[in-house]
Amino acid sequence: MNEQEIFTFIKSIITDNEDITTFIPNEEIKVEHRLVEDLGLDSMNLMSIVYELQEKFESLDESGISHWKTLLDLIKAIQEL
Amino acid sequence: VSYLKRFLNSQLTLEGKVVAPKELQEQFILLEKQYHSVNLQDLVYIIDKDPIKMSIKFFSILDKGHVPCLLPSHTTSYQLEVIQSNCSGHLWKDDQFEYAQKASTHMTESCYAVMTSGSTGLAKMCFLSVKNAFLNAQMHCDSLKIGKKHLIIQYLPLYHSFGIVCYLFTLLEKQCALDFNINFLGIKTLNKRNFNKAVLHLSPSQTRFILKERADLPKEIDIISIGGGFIYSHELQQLQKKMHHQNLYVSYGMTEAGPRISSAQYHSDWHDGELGRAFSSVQCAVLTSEHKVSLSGEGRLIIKTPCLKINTTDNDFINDYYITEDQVSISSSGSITLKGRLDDVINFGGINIYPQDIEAAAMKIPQIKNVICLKKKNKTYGETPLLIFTGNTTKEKIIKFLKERLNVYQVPKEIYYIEKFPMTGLGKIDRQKVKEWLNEK
Repeated sequence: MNEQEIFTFIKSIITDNEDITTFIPNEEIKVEHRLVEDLGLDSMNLMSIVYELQEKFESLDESGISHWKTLLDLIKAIQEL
Repeated sequence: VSYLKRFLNSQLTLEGKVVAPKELQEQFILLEKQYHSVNLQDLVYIIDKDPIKMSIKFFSILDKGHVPCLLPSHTTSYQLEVIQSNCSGHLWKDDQFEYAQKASTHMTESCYAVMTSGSTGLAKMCFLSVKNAFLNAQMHCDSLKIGKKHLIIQYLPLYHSFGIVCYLFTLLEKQCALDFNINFLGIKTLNKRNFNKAVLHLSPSQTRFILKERADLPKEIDIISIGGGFIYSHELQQLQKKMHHQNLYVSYGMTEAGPRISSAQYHSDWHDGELGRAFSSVQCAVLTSEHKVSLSGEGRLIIKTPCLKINTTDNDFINDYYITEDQVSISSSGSITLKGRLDDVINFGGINIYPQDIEAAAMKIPQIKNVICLKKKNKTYGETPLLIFTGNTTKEKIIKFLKERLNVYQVPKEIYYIEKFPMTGLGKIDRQKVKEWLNEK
């Protein structure tokens, strides 16, 4: 999957999860947005996103949550698998 | 023996990885170089992203005879300004020690301070004795049967009164092991960790997250304690099914109680709100609707608090009992049942959010004429804040402004514009009518 496809996939996970609300409407989310400060995600939100991603990308390590600052960091971690 | 020395000699791990005593000692030496000598009993605020450094600073400040107060790493400079104006103190933030000309507190015994509510104007500072913290940790451990061989897995905030007693003082009291974590861990991650016997403290929202996971909890976790908000009996029943031989408890407390009040072990005929009997160190009673103090019956929970000092008014006390926000019933045998909370407080996954804090911050936006903050039910978090405003600005601008001044969880993600607020005869916003307007909307 390329960057755009992973990005769209992550956005669909966020939209489909009724417990996650972001500061920014889904259609305005950009790859450079920061996960915590810009989108308002907490570690439980991030963990559920990562668990969803792991259904497709099994080797994605959730310990990266402490290091990923932006959506692009997460996308890059997936691309590097 | 100094608190710090006991901490440095403890069995500590960070995100599952062992932290060697030598490494801890080196961190301590580096941190000591930042410390600026201050007067005895001075208040020192501590902010550190690293939970181990935060703990070293906490115990080191206690050892020096000062009063430490842990603050979250995401505390904004605006919040700090408000906190300092309410209760001034020195600030040990990350690698810098900022000296304050005038630091508060006149305590006569070893104590630490805890902020109990939001931090934008209505902050309440409690000064709690270290002696009582050890006693409270001991009672908490005894009720949950936490022993020396247990590993306590931390991911509830360390800076809460709960975190200080149930993680830091418990570690020193029981000489068990402590695993620090920066993020929440689901079952999937817990199953990757190596430990023999472990204790897990969960908030209701974390419990709900775990209930959604398909996997079972690792059998090595033999104690689970849920606290910090309301948990329903059907959720406890579901959790028990996901566990192997674990003992499941519901814990209850509040900062002013130092902070634990009770722990009740889950049983098959559990009823909603069950909290068990209060620990012997905390005296509980109710304030009835006739404004009478009674040892049993229904009303607002009142407690004889071991707090050394709280910045409260006389109205917060009756016959030396501190009047809490919780509605309870106490049976003749002393069993407490939680009935609910006073209406306005937003319980966000166990963290109290005070609407007044959010409203006060939003009112600082010049384009906003008036604002109210309400709560909205949320399946995972219990309740989340919601903001309604009049004035000439946008949702995006409000969020941007509030994010610079409040903690992320305090910033409402749902914001609505109203042309004119319905008012009561006394000139206050009619919250009930606004709720009706919102429901229609």
